[in-house]
Amino acid sequence: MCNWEARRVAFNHDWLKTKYLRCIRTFIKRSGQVTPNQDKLNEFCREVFPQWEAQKTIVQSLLDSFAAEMSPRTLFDKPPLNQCPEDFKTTFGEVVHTLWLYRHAVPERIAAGRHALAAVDEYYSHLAPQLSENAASDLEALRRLSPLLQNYYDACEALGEAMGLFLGVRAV
Amino acid sequence: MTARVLVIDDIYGWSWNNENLVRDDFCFDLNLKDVTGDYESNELPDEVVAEAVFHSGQKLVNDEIRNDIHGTLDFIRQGWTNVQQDKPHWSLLLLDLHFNTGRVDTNGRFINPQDIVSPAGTNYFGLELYKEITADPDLKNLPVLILSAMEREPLDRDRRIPAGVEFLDKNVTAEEFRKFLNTHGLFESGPLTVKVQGSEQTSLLIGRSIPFLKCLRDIRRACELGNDNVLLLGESGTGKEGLARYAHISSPKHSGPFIPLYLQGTPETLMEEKLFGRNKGAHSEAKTEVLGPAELADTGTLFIDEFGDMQGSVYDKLLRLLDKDTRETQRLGPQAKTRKVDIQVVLATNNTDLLSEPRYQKNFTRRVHNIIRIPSLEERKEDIELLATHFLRQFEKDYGAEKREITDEALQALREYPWARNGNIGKLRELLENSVKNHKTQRLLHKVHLGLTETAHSDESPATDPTPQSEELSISNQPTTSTDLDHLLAQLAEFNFDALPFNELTNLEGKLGDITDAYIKLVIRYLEVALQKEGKITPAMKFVYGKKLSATEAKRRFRDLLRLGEWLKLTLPSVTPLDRNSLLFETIRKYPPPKQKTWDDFLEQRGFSLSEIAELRQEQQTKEK
Repeated sequence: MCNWEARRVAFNHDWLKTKYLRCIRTFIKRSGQVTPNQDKLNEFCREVFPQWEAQKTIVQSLLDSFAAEMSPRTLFDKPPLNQCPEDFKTTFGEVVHTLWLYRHAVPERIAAGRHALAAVDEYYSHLAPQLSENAASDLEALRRLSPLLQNYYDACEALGEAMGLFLGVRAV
Repeated sequence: MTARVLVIDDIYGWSWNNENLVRDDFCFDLNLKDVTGDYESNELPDEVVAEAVFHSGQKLVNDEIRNDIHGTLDFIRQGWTNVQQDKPHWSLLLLDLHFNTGRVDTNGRFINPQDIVSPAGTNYFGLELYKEITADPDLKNLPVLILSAMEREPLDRDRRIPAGVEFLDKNVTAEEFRKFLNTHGLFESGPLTVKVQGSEQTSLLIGRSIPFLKCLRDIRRACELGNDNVLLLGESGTGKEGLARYAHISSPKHSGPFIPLYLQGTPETLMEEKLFGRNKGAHSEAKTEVLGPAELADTGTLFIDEFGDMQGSVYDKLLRLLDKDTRETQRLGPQAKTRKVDIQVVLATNNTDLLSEPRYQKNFTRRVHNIIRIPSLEERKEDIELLATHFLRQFEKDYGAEKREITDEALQALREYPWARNGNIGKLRELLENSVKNHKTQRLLHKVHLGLTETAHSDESPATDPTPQSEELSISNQPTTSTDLDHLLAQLAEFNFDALPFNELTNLEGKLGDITDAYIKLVIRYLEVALQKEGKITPAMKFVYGKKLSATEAKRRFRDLLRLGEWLKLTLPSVTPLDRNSLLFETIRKYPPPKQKTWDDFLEQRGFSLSEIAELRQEQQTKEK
């Protein structure tokens, strides 16, 4: 597995789908309980929810670097194609890159990824001030946040689907 | 018992520092109760759909996490083939696909990220486990789902993934998980409370054998939408009505009515009216309209038992009812309108060859796709003990009888009995009811209490009077306790002497003396003990008869017992000399037997000299004068 794919899997599989999405859902469910576990609610607000900030940087980096790292043009930097003459590599490399971009709708996938990322970030910015460290002490306020949290969850799920679209698009 | 799910996952399976917060969220989100036991989780969801046990599939060796296929398979077997009586089988196995390995710190964090084996392009440990499980004949019936957050498309195209693998997304919601559990899991039924003609009735479906759990699963699958037709094929006594109720409870129609209709023995002339109802004036005696069962079952379930005898136009009308596109019912009578109904139909028959009949092969099978074969009791022997215990507790309560344990011998006999075509659960129930009713004070259920016969597989319905068993009675030559005698009496009571077949008795030539001696020995010894215990005739007779008698009646009965046929002719080699001071001797002197010769023989056998005998004879003659 190449480095880009490993980073994508680490974000999409190991973090987003295995951990973060479920944490949001259980937070919504817990805050709906009559007597929820306060420690777990506070823990989500304090340690889990803010993880988005670091992961956001990773996603941005993935989207920014996809075209460069995953293009078939990179094959000309490795054996055996690196044996080709320089002008051939330059010209033909550009051709395969362009073909790849449009056959696999790469710009559209990247745009979809950026759009999904922006949506998540927007909901995050609305929620962050209200999910402070001791937010669990005001259950009513938490419950009023439930629709917004659900929107945040849906946006994260959509981001996961968008990042999944990059599978099969790689050249190597 | 609840469903119990096994999850084999490297992230959920480990607990570091007595916690696993990701596992806690997984359980809370999917309404699971964590019963792994490696740490105490202090949180439960409001509603629990299943218990969950987590296993990492790995082992820790010198600070390094490694995949452990043998240890994991052993763990799986513990909850499947080697499961204890009070614990359920695994209902479902959820198997992660990719497992991270490498060196970890004390908090379970990988020390060197490069140590983590990358997920794609390498062997999936979960697949290795999956292949081992499906290849193992002991584990092949265990339902397995691959639990993975990996994208489906590359998995579907990955040739390493065997065909037929079912996937479950790791991010599954509680509702989706419940549906997967229902359609794939093997778990027991809880109590079934069903509204039948306005009143609620609760029944139980008991069983945890794999064939039975598969039958329950097939029913849940068939009733998922609540608008389909289901055919239950099962021998008599396999619990078809209970399973029809299960079909109702498992469907979206569970809050609607459950209408059972029993057609066995219904004359052909009445079949149509019974099945579809009638309008007023449908015939000369039809003074009022009668709603058809399908109308009564609207928004619920219609259960038709033994429908196989239908002919002609009635059969055609049934086919129209079974057609999901129309679902029409039409009452008997002039100008009867067709009525659409929203029902689920469950049909049942004990004619397991029904579908081989030509008239059922086309139109019927086109309408009824869900054909579920109910296992006979012989196919689910694992359930016999559970069922027997349930029936015993029920009848002990009904009859006010002592609670009893089933002996190994009785259980073995039940397991070996040929239940198929011999009444199945209905027959088991009848045998146990009789055993409790006839032996209320027993605290052990022995084989002899069951009245089992050696009937081989038979097409006839079960006999109402079972022929006596030909097994050897296990009688001790030296009974030393009243329990031995009680056991002997129980065997004798069950032996059904008066129903012995002709051939059995013709083999017993010249046995009357033996039979009589055995009987008389017992009676006389019983009398002697009674006299020794009570000291006088009247209380002694109360003891042997079990009821109070007047003095006159007691003496009369004592004399009658002494005069029993041949008792004085007993030639016991070890006869006890008669104590001349004993109450028995005194009693015999007062109530001598009528025949003098036997009297003389009896006294001589018991140590009296000829002169003493002559003296006693003289004494008697004087009294008689």
